[in-house]
Amino acid sequence: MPTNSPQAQTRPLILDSLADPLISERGCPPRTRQQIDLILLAIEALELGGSEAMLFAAKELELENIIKNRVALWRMRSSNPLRRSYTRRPLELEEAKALVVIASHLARRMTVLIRQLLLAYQQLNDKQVPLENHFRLSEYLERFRAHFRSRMNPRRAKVAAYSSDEKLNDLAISLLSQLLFCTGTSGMQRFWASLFDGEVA
Amino acid sequence: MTIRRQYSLPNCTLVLEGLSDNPPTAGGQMDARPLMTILVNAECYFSGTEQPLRGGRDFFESLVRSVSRYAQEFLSQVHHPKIPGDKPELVQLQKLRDKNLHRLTLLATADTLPANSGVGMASSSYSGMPQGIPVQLDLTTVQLFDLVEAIDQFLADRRTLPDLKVSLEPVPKRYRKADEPIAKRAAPAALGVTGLALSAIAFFLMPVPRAPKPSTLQPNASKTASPSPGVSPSPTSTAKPTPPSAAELEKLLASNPEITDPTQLRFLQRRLYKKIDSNWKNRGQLDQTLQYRVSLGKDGSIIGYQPIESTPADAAKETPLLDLLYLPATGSIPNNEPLAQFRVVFNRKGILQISPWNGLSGKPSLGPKITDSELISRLEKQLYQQLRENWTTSPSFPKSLVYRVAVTEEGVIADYEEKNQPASDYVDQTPLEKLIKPEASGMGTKDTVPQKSLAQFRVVFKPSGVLEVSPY
Repeated sequence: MPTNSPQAQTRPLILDSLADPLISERGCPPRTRQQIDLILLAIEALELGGSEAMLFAAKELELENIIKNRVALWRMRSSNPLRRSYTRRPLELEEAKALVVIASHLARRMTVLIRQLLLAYQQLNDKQVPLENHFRLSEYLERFRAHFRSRMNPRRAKVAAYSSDEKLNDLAISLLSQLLFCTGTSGMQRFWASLFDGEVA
Repeated sequence: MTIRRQYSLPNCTLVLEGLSDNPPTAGGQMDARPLMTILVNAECYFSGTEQPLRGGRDFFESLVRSVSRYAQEFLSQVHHPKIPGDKPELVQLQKLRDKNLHRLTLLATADTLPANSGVGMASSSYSGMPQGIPVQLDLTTVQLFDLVEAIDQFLADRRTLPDLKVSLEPVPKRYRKADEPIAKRAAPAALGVTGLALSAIAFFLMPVPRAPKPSTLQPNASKTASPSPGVSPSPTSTAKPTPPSAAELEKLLASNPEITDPTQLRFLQRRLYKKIDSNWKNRGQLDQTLQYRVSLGKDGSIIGYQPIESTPADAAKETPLLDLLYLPATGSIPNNEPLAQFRVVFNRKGILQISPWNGLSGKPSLGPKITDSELISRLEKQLYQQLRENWTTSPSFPKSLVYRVAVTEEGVIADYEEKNQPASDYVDQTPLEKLIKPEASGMGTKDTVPQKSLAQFRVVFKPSGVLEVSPY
């Protein structure tokens, strides 16, 4: 259906469910950019071909005006200051919202898997059994560590802090829990608001 | 009739029982999903625990608030403060970091019974739980999520207690915890302390100052033989980098050349007056007249001051001097920087007086002058034009404002001076402050005296709106 207002085309309604935070600077603060990229990294570790899924989701959710192609997605994610490919490019609120909408969308589809992995983690932890004994969980952790190490800049102090497997596993589990919260009724809004905790005026 | 709402998740079930205070619809037809406005009883069941958490409206409100806030804390790792002044929450959540668990505590004290107790029978007791003993439950992350989700489903349900809302807002900057390791954050502070210690040592090693030469310091100051009665120069205070102590100042005055050129002193005096006058806020609130000997650098910055004439040492905070004090970045004033000294008097009635400490040794000039009479008459017309165009406000001052205005040969206003009291009181009604560009004549950060020739004019703004410009 042709639409008379060009605004309707450029501004997808789904983004309206996320409120604009009161941030002073243009674009998103560094911690916001970092967290968004890491949550997407966790999705990639959960699902083979995660970045394909993200592009497909962008199309499904009618966000292709914001995320046009693979390169655009990569450039947005490179606004994460921890990345090797960090470009100092700002991440606009609109773009951040689009990425959060996609992350929540993909997380919802993987709700069962996320719950299983977190339950398994809890059980293994309670019984003091090494995490490697759970095939699906150790696969996720291994993939997350590999992704993190290949893409993040080890010369950054924050990246260097995750030098051990154990620290990276903790980060991966923490991101998995965040993904679980994203699957909820208000999960997307909760995750979005949390990205700006300690950043607003 | 009781309305019952249930929100079920694998690990957590929330059951709400309540009533509607809306009368049944007119036709007597039963609403399929009547609006619940009054909560009678709330129960929260967790898998693996037999007893539910149970309570009235207070309990449920606290559960909703605390759980929502904790969820945000869990997501961002940034602490969400409790609203100050509120009584302690009935329901509290706390992270057990080492076990990856979340401890939910339900306080059960006598005053935490439901407020709307007139409504129900089951409302006033936490059944199965002895009064006064808090109940604790350790939840896994998945259980916590199910609790959050049950609450979010309730919040999304606008047919059940629609007045209960939770806003998801990020917490402001001041609650952010530093995400850098402590060692890294402490480094600058440690460096600062070391730097302070080093400069203290450096000061300690400096040679003891020679006695001031009376000839340079006070050639004709007869009134004050000793420059600072009441302030005993103590040699130990030299280690303090900011601001210069009495002793340090004494030393500086002894070692640095003094500015004696009357023209330069005059310009510095006017600059100092303007600076202090515009920053003196609490006029007329002084208990006594305060007097200071103030030392200025060549650029007009206040290097130091000493209370004189029995002015108390701690009275400086009543004056703008402390705020205007120039603190050198290096921690010390260069040794050869020439200094000018003034007596600054803050009158009890709010009048500011500034005079050169040692008087003027000659007649001050206004700097180099333009002598070409043709140029002067052209500049006069130009100045009139410039002021006329920029004087847009209608005058509301009682008397004529008289100024001396100096312009460069390009016609730029480089300097002006109030020649009567109304002129200084109502200067903001003239366009002078807006138009002045001291740097056009070479006056600026380094020099206070014009470097280029200027033409001097007398400018009068009259209450009638008439503007007069004539050679000075």
